[in-house]
Amino acid sequence: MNRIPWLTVTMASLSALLAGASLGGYAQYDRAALLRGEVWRLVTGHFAHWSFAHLAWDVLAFLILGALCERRRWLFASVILGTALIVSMFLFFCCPEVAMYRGLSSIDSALWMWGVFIIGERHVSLALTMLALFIAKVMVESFGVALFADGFTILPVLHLLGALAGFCGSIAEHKIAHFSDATLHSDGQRDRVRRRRDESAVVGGAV
Amino acid sequence: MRRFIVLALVLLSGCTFFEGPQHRRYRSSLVEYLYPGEIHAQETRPAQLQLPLKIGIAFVPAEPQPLDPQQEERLLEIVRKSFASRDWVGEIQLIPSSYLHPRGGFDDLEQVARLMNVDVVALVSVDQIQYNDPTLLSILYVSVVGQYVLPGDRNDTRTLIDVAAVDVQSHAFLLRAPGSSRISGMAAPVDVERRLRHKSDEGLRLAMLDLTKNLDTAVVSLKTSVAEGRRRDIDIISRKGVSFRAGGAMDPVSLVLMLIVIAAAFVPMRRAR
Repeated sequence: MNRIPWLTVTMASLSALLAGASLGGYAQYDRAALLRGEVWRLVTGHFAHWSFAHLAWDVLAFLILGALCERRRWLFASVILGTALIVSMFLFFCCPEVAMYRGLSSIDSALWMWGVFIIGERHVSLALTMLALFIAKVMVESFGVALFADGFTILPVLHLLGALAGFCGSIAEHKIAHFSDATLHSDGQRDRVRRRRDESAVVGGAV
Repeated sequence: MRRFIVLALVLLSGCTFFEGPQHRRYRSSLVEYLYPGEIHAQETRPAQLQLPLKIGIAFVPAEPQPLDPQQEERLLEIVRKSFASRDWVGEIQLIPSSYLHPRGGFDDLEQVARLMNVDVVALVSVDQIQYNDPTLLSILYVSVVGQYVLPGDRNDTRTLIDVAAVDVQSHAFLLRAPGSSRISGMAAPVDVERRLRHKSDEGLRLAMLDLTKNLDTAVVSLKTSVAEGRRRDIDIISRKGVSFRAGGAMDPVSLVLMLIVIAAAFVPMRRAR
């Protein structure tokens, strides 16, 4: 938490830049444009927003959760890219009636779920509270109650999909950490064996 | 010779009426109907259009009605055809003129929309103005022959037909399409009334043709502009209950609660150190 989460800051700036320069239309998920071959929209659509309030709350959540989750940068970037692609592909194949999509919240949901596991490493009860908050949020959205969502529909299923991607990210991080520990452990054992051999060789030589 | 002079005098003179410029106007005003008092700034709500749309088509009521029943029917049919060919339009109801009251406002419109079970009403208004001006040739009206034979009056007929589709619940204007025409001609004084009536019909016919083209364009561009996000005040909800424009949003309440949880998870750790 002490180092600067550069990837988070860069991606949040990208969202602000797209809104500030009114480039949202060129970046948004646009089904018709995708069919024309503008495939970058699968990723950039998540960084475009419909309104200032939409941008502000999404980016604020992204900054907080990004600062929490950005521990291994390549993994963090992979989770964000993976979430963006999974959600966009889901929209493309399963929701053909959605013509446009904008918003970072699917990625925020992924980071939220990832954050649950990170907090769970320290405080299980707080992690469960955070998980309960997420479930409550999705349930509220399912009933169609959403603040700052004028003029567009929130799709809670995309948040669940994002959370699933975040869950996969946390498992990946856990496995990587376990593998690293195992490697360190085996390296330590190898060192100890080598040291013993060296010591016995020295003793044998002396004999 | 005397007989010839007398005949010439009879033919060339007459107690002519020499009228100055005249104009007449038939008008039904959408603004007067929807905003009968002063127009106050109203809080706008985004319109949520649930597909398939149920559309009602009606004439803006006026006294007297500017069109005869045949013209009304023809015009309503043009508007109906423009909407009928769209896959996102469900039912189309023609609302009789007598159902709406002049200067009725949105209250009147809402009542009729409930009665007819429609979400959107396309209101058709007509504004036609006809001018009849004398020209230099009008000097010859001093003769009896001149009044009957010489077309010395210039007439000008300007017609504007306007179709505005309004979402009844949110009062949002969805689209507007005009159709206009301007025709002019000359007429002798005794023929002016008949000519003006003819020009009125002809002006309406040409304006309707123009409207057909413009309305088709406006209806097509409505869906496109909503889908592209240019019309933020309108959201189209598909048959599956999903918006054309989707998004993911974080809400401040859950964000604050999440922040509290994260802070609670990290602050005690620092103390422990």
